[in-house]
Amino acid sequence: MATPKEIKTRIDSVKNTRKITKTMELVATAKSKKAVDRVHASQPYADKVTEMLESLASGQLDVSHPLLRKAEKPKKVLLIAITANRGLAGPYNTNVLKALVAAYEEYKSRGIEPVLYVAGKKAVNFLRFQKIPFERSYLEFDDRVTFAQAEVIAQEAMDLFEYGKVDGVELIYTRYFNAGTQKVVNRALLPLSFSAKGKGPAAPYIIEPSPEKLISALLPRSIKIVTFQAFLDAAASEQIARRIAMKNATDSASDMIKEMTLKYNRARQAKVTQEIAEIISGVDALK
Amino acid sequence: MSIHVSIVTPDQKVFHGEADYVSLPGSEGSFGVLSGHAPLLSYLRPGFVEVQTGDSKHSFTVESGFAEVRDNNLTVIVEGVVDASKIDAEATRKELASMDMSPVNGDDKIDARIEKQDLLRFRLQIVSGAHSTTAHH
Repeated sequence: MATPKEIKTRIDSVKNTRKITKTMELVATAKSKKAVDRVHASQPYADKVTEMLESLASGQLDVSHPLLRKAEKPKKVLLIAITANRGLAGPYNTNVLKALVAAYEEYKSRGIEPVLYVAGKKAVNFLRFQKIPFERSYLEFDDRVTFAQAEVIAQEAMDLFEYGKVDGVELIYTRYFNAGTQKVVNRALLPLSFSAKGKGPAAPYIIEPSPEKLISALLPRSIKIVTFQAFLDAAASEQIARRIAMKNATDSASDMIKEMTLKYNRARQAKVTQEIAEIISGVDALK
Repeated sequence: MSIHVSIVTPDQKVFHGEADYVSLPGSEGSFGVLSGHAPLLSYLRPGFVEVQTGDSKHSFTVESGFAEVRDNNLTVIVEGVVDASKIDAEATRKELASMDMSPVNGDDKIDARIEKQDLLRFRLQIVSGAHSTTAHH
């Protein structure tokens, strides 16, 4: 049996760990609030772009645009996966990477060549380890992506698609549905599809300069905002996952401390009892 | 009579409230919107959106975007609001000078290029202070 001193050292070490996980939990909580605020702040813009696109398209029967091109026999597809730069976020990174590998294998088995763009150190390390080649990596975002940064990625994806270098673009990231639900999703970014189901206004719109021009200006913006939102969602989900992981770690540290304190007290009591017994038997021997 | 106005960017709601009169930098020329305006969808050039309520007047320098009027609501969606203090004049000038001017195929590409040029020129114009007296944002 461990001596009381050994148990005490162990308790102190677990207490230190708990301090760290508790701090990380608090930091993640604060960060997740901010990240969720950013998700909500992007919503009005995204909604309006979609709404305008849909109501414009409902008046136009044949909308043709390079971004809507559907390849009959796709040869290459671009996969954009979003993970974090840091770990200690529970299953957050692994889930995205699992979905990425699944999509990668599936496209390969269908004879379509997947091209990978990845964000986050975790994805880079994983792919290097698995010896899966990737074309590009983004490590500079951390959890504060700006619209301009997302715009660059979206623009690159659109260029590849428009020039026929890839026939599809898919985003793999953790979507933030609400505070309780975040799920990894594979979202087709290109070719863009939208339903022309807008209700439209009571009176017809005055449209300047022309519906075609507006649609072709709206389409790339729609791609950009979807990409931006994917990054915002991923950032919010990351912080929430980390908060939960750290809360669990803190809780199990507390349980361990409780258990070990009990052990420590027992060991201490056993020692005291033993010493008393020794003293008594010593006294008896002197009689 | 007033019209409800909201100006949104991907990051934030820049303005939200009632206004008597709003002037907008339409692609076919600047135009104004009063309460009761007919439904409208317009493309916006980089420029100034001025929101007038009573005696107060807010001015926003916006990048290109769209304006929609519908049921006495005016929604302006722009990719960004220009902050003159954050523009790097030298970098903007360089970017403008180094823009790829080789021939491209397709109107969309040409439009996108013109749009980009407009934006860069507009930023330079802002920095040079030509409009600093009206730009509060």
